Amino acid sequence: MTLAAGAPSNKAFRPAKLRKGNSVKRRQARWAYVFLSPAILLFLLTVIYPMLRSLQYSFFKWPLGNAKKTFLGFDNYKKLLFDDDLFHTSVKNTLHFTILTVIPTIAIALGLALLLNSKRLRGRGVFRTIYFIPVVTSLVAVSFVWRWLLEPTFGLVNTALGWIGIDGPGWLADPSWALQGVMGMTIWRDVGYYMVIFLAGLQTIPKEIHEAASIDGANAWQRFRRVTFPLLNPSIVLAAIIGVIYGLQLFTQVYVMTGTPSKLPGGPLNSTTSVVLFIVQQAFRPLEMGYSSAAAILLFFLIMIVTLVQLKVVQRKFEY
Amino acid sequence: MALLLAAATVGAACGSDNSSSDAPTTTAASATTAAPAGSTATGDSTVTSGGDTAPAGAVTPIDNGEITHWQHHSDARAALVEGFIGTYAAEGGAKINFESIPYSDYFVRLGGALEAGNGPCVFQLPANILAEFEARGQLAPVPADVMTNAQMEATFTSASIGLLNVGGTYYGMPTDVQTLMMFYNDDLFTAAGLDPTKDFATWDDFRDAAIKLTKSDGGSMSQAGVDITSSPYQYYYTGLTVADANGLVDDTTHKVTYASDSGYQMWERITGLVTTDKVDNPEFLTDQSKFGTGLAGMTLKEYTFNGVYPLSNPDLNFSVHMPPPLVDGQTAPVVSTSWAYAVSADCKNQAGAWNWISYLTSEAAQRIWIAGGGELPSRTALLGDKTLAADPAVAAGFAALAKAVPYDSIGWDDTFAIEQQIWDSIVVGDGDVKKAVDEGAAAEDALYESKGVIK
Repeated sequence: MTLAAGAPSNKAFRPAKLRKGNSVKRRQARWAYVFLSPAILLFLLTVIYPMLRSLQYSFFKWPLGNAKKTFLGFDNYKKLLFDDDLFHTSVKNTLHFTILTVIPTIAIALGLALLLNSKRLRGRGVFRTIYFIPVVTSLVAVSFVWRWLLEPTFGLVNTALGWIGIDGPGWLADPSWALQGVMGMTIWRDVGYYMVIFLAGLQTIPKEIHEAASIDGANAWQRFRRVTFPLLNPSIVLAAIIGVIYGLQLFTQVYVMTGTPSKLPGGPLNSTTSVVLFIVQQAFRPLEMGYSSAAAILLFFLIMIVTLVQLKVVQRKFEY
Repeated sequence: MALLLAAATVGAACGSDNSSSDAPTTTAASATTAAPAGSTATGDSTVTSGGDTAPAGAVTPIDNGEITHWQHHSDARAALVEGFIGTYAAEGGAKINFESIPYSDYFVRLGGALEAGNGPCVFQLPANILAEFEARGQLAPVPADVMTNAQMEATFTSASIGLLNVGGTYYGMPTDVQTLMMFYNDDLFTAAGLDPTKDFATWDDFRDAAIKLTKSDGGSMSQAGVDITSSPYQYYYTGLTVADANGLVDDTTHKVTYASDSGYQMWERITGLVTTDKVDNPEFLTDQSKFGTGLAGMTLKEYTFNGVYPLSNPDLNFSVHMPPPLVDGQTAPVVSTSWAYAVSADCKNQAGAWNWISYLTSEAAQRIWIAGGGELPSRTALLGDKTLAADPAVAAGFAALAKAVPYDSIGWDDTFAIEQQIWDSIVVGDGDVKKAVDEGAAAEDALYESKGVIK
């Protein structure tokens, strides 16, 4: 027996190996789809299907029950975009809330993360836990508590302001301050969450880079400005995108902090009405789904556009 | 910072124990005594009370399958229903699967469940929006073997069933009848040199008393003359209903009536209490019951608060009165509201559901609702019952009910939202009454038009 006779030539061997490789990949892909299919099916049923139905409803007047459904074309969209002052107010409130909560939250969270990342700080674990507690507390519960904290006459916030000679505002009773009150609570609650994202990001920055910068004579601010901040960009992008998406979906805080059994949420004078609250109220007060579905579709596009713009503006590539 | 906030949180949580908000629900001290003892009679009529005869006043429970029952939550009403469920089962009735849902979620859940076909068999609806549910095909009519139209009209007050008749057919049986009453804090009245036993004859008398009852401390309000800002809706829907001879909504055109001289006057008067007379302030105990905590001289509330206040503040010494005239030449001194028990058109056990509703609205059950639930009777026979009216508070409620006109809006939370907007525009907005009222009236007309009820 000779090797020459028995061994497959290179020409014959390569296609067989490739074929085998392709077959394995195909088999792996098949199994991947099998394992993914429950999640995909669930996603299709609970997300895609309702979205498509919502899109369908948005072109109709769609009262619940067997009441007549009337095709309206783009009338719901036209009314929302050009005629409905309350919808415009809700969009304005939502954007105002989003911008003025996401930026301070990220700034404060970044500062706290830098402090709590310092090895010289004793009891870091305790502080991290303290700042994270609001995140794991029910949003409904903290909203309810903050409602009492912000009570103008006897609330702790105005009482504390009084100690330093400041006459506190009317907060949730005053159209000029109500949304600021909701924003304050949201910043307090969310700081811990973004702090954890930044702490994780800070711990991925190799200390050798900081050491090299120090050797090159960079001071603390320069190291933050030129090393830490750029290398934290992926974490900042993630935090900003999550923050904006959550912000544009503002609902629970407003619902709990401004509504009572005697007053519908969103007041006073619609100063805290968010887009999601508008959608819920338009759907479930008259039990008519068409108009609110159109508003939901517009919110979907608003979130998509804002997120894409944000990605373009915030995302940077840095390599060291 | 976190420690400060944590301390603040604990402090606020502790402090909130004393701040009960005035929920428009029904509560009472003796809620756990619910059991319509003796409600089962062998006959199907002839239950006497106060010498009157009530047709179809007693019910024999039947058991032909389980029944799901939803209603919006109040501790006392839930306890009463639980009691009725026990006695109904004990008397041979079906098993009732009862769910008491917070008011803020009630219509969201009910609407979704009825649409999905898994809603309750029996549920509670404000009489004012029962027709909307009927228009969606979600309600079953009251069967003739439960009550004919003639029996309904002979048994229940016209105010409680007027809105339950859609196109000549009744779609529900009345419950939770309320009148809007003026509550006085007798101790604060006496301290201010006022007589807590008298009703106010004129708006100016009421206003003067409210001013006398208002106190400030260091430039900040410490006692409101009248508690209005925490829950103004009772004032404006009362005022709007009595301001015009046609009620809030014209019976013929189904357009609102309040963009008129009497409507403007009503809005000016009630908002003027805050903007001009300053007898209340939205920033004083925001959204909390000032009257319930003893920090307001008066308030206008549903009759049921006659049962709520003793629970929330046992030390509160109060009395119940007719409201002051909110507008010159008003049509009635007081307004009534009511809800209805209805049956879903999709309910598989129609007979059982209507039997359960008949049981809940029977005369024997109504006696328990009145004694324990802080509601007034919908049964005509009970209006003349001297045994019930022996309690002075119940007597005041009965007297009010006899003179009341029903709140006739063709909406509920949706119309309150519009009217609250008028209130806010005047009180915390630019203060232009006519502009706010005209815009509100136009919005309410547009709402009714979108519901398809404008003729």
